[in-house]
Amino acid sequence: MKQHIHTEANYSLATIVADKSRTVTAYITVDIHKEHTVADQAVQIMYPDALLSGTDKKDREAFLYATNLLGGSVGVSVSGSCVNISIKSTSETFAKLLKLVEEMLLTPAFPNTQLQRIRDTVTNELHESKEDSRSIAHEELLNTIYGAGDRKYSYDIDETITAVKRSAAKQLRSLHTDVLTQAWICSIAAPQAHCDLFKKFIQKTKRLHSLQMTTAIHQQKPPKKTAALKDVPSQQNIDFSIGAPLPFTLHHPDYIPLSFAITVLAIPGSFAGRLMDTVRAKDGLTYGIYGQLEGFSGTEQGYWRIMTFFAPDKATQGLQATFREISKLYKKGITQDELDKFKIILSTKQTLLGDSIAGQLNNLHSYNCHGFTLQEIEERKAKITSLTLKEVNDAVKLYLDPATLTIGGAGPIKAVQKDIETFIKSVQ
Amino acid sequence: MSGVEEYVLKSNGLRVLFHHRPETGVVTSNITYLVGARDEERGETGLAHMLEHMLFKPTTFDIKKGITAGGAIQFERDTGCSLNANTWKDRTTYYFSYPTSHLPRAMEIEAQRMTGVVLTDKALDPERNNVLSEFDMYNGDPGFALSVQMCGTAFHSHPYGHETIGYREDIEDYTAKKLERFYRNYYRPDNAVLMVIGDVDAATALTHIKNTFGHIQNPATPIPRFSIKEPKQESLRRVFIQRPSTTNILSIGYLHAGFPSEQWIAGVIMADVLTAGPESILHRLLVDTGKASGVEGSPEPSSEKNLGAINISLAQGVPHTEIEHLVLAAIQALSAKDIDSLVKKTKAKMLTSELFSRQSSMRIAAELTEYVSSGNWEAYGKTPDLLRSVTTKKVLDCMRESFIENNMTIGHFIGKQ
Repeated sequence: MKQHIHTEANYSLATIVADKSRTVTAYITVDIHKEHTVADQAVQIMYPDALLSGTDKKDREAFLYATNLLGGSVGVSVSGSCVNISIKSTSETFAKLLKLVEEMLLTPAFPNTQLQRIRDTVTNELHESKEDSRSIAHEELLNTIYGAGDRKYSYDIDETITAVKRSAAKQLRSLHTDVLTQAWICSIAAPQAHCDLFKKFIQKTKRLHSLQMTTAIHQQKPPKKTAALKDVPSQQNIDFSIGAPLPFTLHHPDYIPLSFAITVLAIPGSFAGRLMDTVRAKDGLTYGIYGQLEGFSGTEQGYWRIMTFFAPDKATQGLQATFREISKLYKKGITQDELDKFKIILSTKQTLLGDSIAGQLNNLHSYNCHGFTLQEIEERKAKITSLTLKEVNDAVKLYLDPATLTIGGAGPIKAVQKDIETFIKSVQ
Repeated sequence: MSGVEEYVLKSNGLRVLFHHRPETGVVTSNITYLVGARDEERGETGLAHMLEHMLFKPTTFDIKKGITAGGAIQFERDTGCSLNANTWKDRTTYYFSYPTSHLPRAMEIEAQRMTGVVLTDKALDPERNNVLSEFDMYNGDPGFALSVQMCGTAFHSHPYGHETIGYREDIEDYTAKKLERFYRNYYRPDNAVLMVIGDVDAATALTHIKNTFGHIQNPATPIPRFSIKEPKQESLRRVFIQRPSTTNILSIGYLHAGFPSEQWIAGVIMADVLTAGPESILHRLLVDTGKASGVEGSPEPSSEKNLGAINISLAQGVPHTEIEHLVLAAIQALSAKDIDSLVKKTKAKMLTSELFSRQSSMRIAAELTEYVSSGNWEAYGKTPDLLRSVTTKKVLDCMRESFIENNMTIGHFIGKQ
């Protein structure tokens, strides 16, 4: 299917023209990060519900009903200070659904009558998240890597709840103004006529709102060999996010070689990584252990992370096994056989995208969000194919020192906290 | 729809479902064995799931070739194919998704796993630990822990009374001998359905299937089946769990019809009307009023009557009993007029969702699997029409029949701080 990326100053639009498709999927992503206070975090959590709470013409119930009766869905979420809007429908109902999206974005009501409901709902959700040990372990790691002004930093849940209670409608309106005035990253998979309709909608909306340039705060800290642990006694396993900051951005020449090395170590969702072969299959210590580079953009430095979980009585043994493999990779690098095999694996992952338009669109939108042209996407894929063993292992030597790692953990930690702290101190 | 064709291998009765999706370059193959948690005896719960894990270990064929990782995993490492497996009440399913050229190897591995799995205590031990790790992962979720107890209470005799992963105590007691018996009883051509969906023509696919599976013989013994009728439920049943936690859950369980009957679809629409999205009845009643942080509920497909549930995560300090009375009274009071618009929007959403779910070979195979394990794969093509035919009255009738005392099991998860 034909793919295209059209870029203007205030939007970019990636299209997959699927003329035979009976469905339409479209995404709009808007980066709204400027600074990151606890008030910003609170309002960003509230925004999706607020945006879906009615327009000047329709109250919340009427708006939601009109959307759903079309059989379509309009999803709004905020992640890493990026607002994501997803639109899904049949090709027959897309035009009507897009009109509703336009109404939602151009004339949102943000009514005071809904504000207290949203505060209560979000407060309840935040209380519930206190037992989400997987997310907490990740946040513990991120808060070691990033400063409080960075978008990747998470404020304490109780502090956030207080900020939610103090929030006002004018903060939501201000955030919405940012959504309208920042550049839009849009992608669609649909028949040509629907792609054209989506483009017209974007152009119309962006004409009404001039582009605002902003400065975003980014605060990556140096690596710290430490254990950041939180007790969540209700869980059975201890979740871990083990990682370290990486001092470069997405377009740095070391990004692809290092990403390749982490793929060899712990390719997500697969049995092929070294850690799945050793810590899971041979040692029998966990059900799953994966890793990847995360948090990179053209301007922001990311980090690498291994995510897994262990039973409390196997936590120290599990960490030792994980660090043993990381250390082995750091000292000896990957092998020529691994280089060759993982090139095939990554190439096949691209072929498998051909199975679904949704998979192709998600992949394209991800590149689009990072400002890649189609040619740059192809160059990146070609770079993976031509990687040398030296490039990968030089990157490993430069960045994967186990003595730079932070262990973020959450779960029934009390009985093993001291052991884990002693272990991380011993890592060399 | 459906574009699905059925074939049967004459030599051993293996059923094949084929669906052609041209120009994608990708094939998904899926073999579903008609054995699941329902076929397990007391003290051996979770055996079907444990066996699923063992099919990723080296087979006798792999050992001869010196493949130490297991054929399936080596296939992934060599080619980058996607693979996995899952077990449910009535079935165990294994699948690969790969570029078309790998079809012969995928068929060979699947055929070898049908007869050549090596079940020794040495091979079992590390994998048992992984399953225990998986069990603990699920069991850490208060909702899961509650549902395990509720199933055990809702069913006194029928094997749907235990979760697919089984009880921790049973997992710890598995032996290779128990697994071997289970494997020999159920892993055979006449108890399997092989699906091939994707960018390959039928003649090519069938040739490879015949070459790899054609020689496998069925055991002379019949496939063991339990025929257990659940005794009549005479009153409301209750379950309480207390754990150190900040979470409080009210779960209202109800017995629902088997998949894919019209009553089952009415039940799915009912659950959606009650719990899906901000406009649903219980979301407005509980979440919008700050009494709960979330409501959800959707029945899982199973071939016979099973336990579905409406799960409500309570806000801090809100008593379980207060919400229980509120919810049951609200459901009792609903009229056709109250739910008519919600039924319409749910049907529209489900019809759209059906279109989306038929756009990749992996998703088609996953959906078809549920129809296969229900014993009625032909219904796959008829679901959209069946969905359109469900009326508001049928949904209301389903509600009336579901939430009566001798059909319900109610669970309270009580977080102790």
